[in-house]
Amino acid sequence: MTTYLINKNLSSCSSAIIRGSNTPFSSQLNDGPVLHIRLSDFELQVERLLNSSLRTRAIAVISSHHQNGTLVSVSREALEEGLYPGLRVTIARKMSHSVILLPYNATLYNKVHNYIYQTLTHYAPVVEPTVYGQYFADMSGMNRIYRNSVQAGYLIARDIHGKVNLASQIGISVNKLVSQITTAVVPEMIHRVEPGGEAHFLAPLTPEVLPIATEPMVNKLIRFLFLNEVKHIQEITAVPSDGAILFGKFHSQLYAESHGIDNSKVQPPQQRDCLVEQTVLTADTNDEEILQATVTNLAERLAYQLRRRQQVARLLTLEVHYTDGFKNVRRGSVTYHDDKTVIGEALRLFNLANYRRNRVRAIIIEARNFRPCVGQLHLFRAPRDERVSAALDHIRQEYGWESIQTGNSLLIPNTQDRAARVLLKNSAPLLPCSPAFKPVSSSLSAVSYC
Amino acid sequence: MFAHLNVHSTYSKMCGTATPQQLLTRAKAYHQTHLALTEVNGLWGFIRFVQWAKEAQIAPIAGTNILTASADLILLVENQTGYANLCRIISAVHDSEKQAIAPLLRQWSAGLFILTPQESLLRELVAFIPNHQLFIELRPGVSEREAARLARELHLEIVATGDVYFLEPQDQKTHKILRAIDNNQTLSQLGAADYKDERHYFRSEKAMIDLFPNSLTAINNAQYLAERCKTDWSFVNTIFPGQSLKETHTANKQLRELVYRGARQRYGEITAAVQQRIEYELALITQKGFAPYFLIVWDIVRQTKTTIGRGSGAASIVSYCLFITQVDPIKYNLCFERFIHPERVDMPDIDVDFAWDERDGILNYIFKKYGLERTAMVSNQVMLQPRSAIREVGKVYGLSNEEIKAITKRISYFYRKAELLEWIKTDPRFCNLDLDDTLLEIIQQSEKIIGVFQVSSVHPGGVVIVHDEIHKYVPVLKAPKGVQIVEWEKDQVEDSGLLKIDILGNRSLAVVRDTLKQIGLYRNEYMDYHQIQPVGDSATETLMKSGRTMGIFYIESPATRLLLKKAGRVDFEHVVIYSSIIRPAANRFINIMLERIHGKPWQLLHPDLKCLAESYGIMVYEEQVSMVAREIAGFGYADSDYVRKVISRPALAHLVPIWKKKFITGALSRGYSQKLAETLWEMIESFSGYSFCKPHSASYAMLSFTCAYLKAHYPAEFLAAVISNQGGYYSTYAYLSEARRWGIKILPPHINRSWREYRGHKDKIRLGFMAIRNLQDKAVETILNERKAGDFKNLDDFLLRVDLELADAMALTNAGCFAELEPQLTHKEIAFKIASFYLQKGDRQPLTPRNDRQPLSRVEKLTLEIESFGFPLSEHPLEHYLPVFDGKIKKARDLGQYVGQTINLLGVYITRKVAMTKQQDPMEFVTFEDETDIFECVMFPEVYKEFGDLLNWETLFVIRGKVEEVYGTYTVTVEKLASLQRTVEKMTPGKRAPVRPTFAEVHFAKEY
Repeated sequence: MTTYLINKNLSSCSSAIIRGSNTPFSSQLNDGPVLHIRLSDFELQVERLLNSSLRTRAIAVISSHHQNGTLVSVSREALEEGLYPGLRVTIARKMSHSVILLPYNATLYNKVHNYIYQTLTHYAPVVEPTVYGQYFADMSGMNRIYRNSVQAGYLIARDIHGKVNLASQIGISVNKLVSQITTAVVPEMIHRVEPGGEAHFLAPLTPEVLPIATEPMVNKLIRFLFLNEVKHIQEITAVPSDGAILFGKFHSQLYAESHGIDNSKVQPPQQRDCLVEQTVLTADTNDEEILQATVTNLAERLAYQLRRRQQVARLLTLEVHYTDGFKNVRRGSVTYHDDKTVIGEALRLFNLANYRRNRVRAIIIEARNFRPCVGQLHLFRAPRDERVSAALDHIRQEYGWESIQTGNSLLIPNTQDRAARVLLKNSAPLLPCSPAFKPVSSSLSAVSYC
Repeated sequence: MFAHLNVHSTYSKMCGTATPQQLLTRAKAYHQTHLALTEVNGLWGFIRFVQWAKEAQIAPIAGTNILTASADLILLVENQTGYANLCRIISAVHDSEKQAIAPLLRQWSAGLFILTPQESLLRELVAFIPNHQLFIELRPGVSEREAARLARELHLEIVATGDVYFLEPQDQKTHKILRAIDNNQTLSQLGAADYKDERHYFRSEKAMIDLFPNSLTAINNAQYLAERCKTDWSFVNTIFPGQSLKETHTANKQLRELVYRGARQRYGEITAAVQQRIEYELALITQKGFAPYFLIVWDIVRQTKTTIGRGSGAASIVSYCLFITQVDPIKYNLCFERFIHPERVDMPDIDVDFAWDERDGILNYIFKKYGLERTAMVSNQVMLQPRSAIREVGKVYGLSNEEIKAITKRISYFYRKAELLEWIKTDPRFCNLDLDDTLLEIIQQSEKIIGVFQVSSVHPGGVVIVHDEIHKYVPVLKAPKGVQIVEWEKDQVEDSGLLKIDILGNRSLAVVRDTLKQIGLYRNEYMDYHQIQPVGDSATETLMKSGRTMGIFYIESPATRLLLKKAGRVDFEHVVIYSSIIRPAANRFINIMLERIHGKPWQLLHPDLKCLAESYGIMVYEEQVSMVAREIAGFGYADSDYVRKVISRPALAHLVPIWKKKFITGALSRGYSQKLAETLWEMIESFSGYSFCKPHSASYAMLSFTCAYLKAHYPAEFLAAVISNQGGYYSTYAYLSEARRWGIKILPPHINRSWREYRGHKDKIRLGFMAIRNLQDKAVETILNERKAGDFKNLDDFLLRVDLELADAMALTNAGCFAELEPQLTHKEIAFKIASFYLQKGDRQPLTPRNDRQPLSRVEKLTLEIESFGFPLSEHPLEHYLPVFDGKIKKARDLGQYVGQTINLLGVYITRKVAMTKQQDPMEFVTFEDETDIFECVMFPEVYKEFGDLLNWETLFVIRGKVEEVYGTYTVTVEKLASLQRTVEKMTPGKRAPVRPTFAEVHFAKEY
């Protein structure tokens, strides 16, 4: 319903859909408000953005086609057919023959998510992206630019709509917690909770809106004691002795959340350096020889990058992606950057990770936590491996990577084609849609959000 | 001449690819006279091999390929002593695969020939095994030169073998796949030692010479050795516990005494007819030496009160007088010859059912009394079937579960055809399956491994007892659950002549026992199981005639309830017929029988078929198959009995066409018409899958009558016992609804009044603690133990006396166990007290509850009930919806008023059964109930296709259908089916259904 209103009315932006708890338009930005921007049903909106024929159809985005796959996001039309988020895909198929089940296109959502993030950075000094379609913006010190936070919110919503044609909701309060709850429960496009009115705002809501309510123990007690509104939690936690007995270590957090107290800061995404080597196999296979050769090849390339940077990686992650969308991950580290060490560790991790018999579709090796490679010699380690690696590097720098390779690289099908390695980023649609699949931004020196 | 002495068939776990029949056929084609089957560490298919070898006229040799961590050798049996030693050695290897073989052979080498290519082992064995028993095995992969050197050094002879694992070299890939499945690996992960190369195929003599051109003597030696092996296997002599003359004499005497003592208890006065029958049976039993067998069964049965003998044994007055069976064979005219016949050579078996929760105790008693030395359970041999074969091969090829399911979900669990590829290519079910090269290969390979022995498990009740040492007769092993089992499955055990007793668990016996216990407890009426006389009781017959038999053993399924109602005749003889005729392939004959019961004139198909007169001219009982075969086709006793076995045993299905031809030819040769012969054979074929003999049906019918008697006179106690034993056809919810229809009040659990199980008394059933989900057994135990010291006075008293985990206390609270204990407190106040007490650390003190006087709303209460019990308890699930429909729907109890009309009904799903039409289209029989009665619906193929899926996730329905009447019973032919909740939501826009159970909660009704 909210989406509909925004799409229809955004151009005129009538005051009827911009409401505050007490006095709308009165607040100034010097009170340090936090905006929560939520693009409800983000995945659905994005899918409909790309394919307009889906706009009136019953659609649902699914986590995976696997038997345990569930509906992640469900359109209003699909809801009317009895489907709901969390329903198993197999059941959904039986319940509704007309609903269109869309695979989880993580790459696409990631792109749009990042694009909106970039848009938001024009409005606020600090923007924190969270899950797909949700962001926090700290508007502290922006009072010279915007008349008030509601106006800022309006401008943001209009800009998002103008650029990507997606509807958004904006919650404004003094902290992240209340802003986020606001966008979750208030249907209007922009809603502001006045400072000091947080507890009052939360009181009539169901306790499920509080993040701490997802804690199994807390949730269990809330249900058992029939604490149907946040008001009841406010009452019970107000008596410290009772609250402490019932909720133990969660008591203080529950008290804070139920009263709308949250001291966490809006934080920009952290940047972290990493090296990624990855390949999508030309044909899915469980042939051990091909897989081992592929891992060797990737590890060889990674080792080359490490030597060029004069670094070792304290964290080496190897991911094996299977035909059915599952992935197995194993972590290790390398303390030297010669081929033998890196290949040995990569193969060890691969053998640990690849315990399934399913055919493998892609393999990723990622290096992080870099440390300088100290030149100190190991007491019992022959320097031969390092010398061999250095010689190989020399040849490759002179004549190119393909000029010298390990013999088992020949086992990899279409070796020639492999020169243009398939970056997972580009080939992700080939992969089954798994929300767990993490696209990365570059094959060599990558920057990713953590 | 050459004979293969090292051959592995599909009975070698996940190794061999050729069946014993294929191997025998190939041996015959190569003009070989002998064949040894040497499975890996076992004699898994030995009895079958001997039977098939006799058919193929090849001399069967018993042997095994002992394969341990350090040894690989072939053992062949020279004589009976050797066979016993072979079984002992295999059993020892089963106990530990690290077992050194030399110490075993030092002890048990008599009567065995030993062949091995391992030099170290040969050097070890040559020290104590004479060289006429020990040979150097020359198998593919062994150098002739090395073998010759060893022969010279050790003064041993060389014997050439094929070390066969497959028929043709190209089958080696299938063998590799089997090994990969067994090792949980892919083909590329298999090491060279994990499988055999292409040389291990079944060679002719010429091919053997090509393989070992310099070892002609070794090749000839194989034949010479084969001729020295034992091949005259016979399993006619039944192995009895206690075979000496003295023991037999004592047993005969004891049996006579026990039978006459029992007869006096059963009949009071022993009439001439009874004595004559006893004497006749005792004479036969004594003559055949079966007395010790009866004594063993008697000894086992007397360990408990509620038992029921099943199978043909129920035709025996001796069994009846020993209290093994419960049906008087004289009164009900049961023919003893179905059980023991003067011409019968194989062992008769007495199967006994025990209360399900007493079965393990009985088995423990048997193992304790006869010891592991003499006793073992029968095993189940799990073979790869089409679905499992495709699944396993698919995994080896790296297919995902989804990809595998795309094929397997289209194959019925019971599909047993082996021509997979042809079927998949032609069957419309697979029309949209994309058969790429990989899939094609997977299906081809799957086809080849169907029938390969995969694993052995424990048979639910078969026990083998021998008089001396079980290891002498069959190798035994420990099943994963710790029970000692024999290598053979029940059919091989039976055919081997071993004494098998079936000790099976039966929930209805526990129901009877528990009902009697409750009657004794609450009504002070002591009733003895053996003294109940339900037959002829008018209340019991009225109940059965009305089809209100939910909960009653064997006659509670919708189909049987309808049959009872339609037939309207429920004397013992008729119920025996109904028990037998309700089987999948006999629908047509049921309808014919109903017409005849209701007076349609009929006559026997032929005057010679007098044996069918008692069952309206229709073949109902197994023994009628044998009788008809004797009478019409002129079969002898053995053949006529074998026809019965061929029809009822899936393993013998391949023989059906042969016996059909024999039957029809026999009938024609005796002057009967072709039409009569074919009609009779059609009746005989309706026995395929499963069927019963009359004594068995009579035995079960007696238990049905006993249950019906208890339900008619003590419904609350009976239904409480049915639910507590969790063994009925329906869900707990369905039985509680049935109880309500009987006017019984259902009481919620109570901390002072409830027990672990449901308890019934007169017109009330109290839910037991077992009804509460998430309540642990140990919590129930703690409460019941503490209650021995007196009832809990109030909640504080309970809190101070019982130390529980919070989760258990919460489950008790939500189930309303404390509601009557603290009537002045609201549910929320009780919940606060419980949580605040059990969450305290150290010295706990009950806290004063916070003031919350608001009682639970109706919706909250229903939600809690569904969470606690899985179903609403305080009101019928349809009650909420009734106002919405406001007279637009009809009630189930009024169906009779709307015959021929199309009406709307509301229904809660109770149970369903999918059936196939003659055109092989699926249709469904569904049982629903509303708040007034239970009713049966039929969904014909078109409706089933459109609405059948709904039954998978919905529980409450709006049903539109036409009411039909047949012999006074009403069914609804469904035209439309809709979800009740969705309908209500559409009818009242903006309003959600009052209680919308989540998916997990929806299916509180049990599915079959």
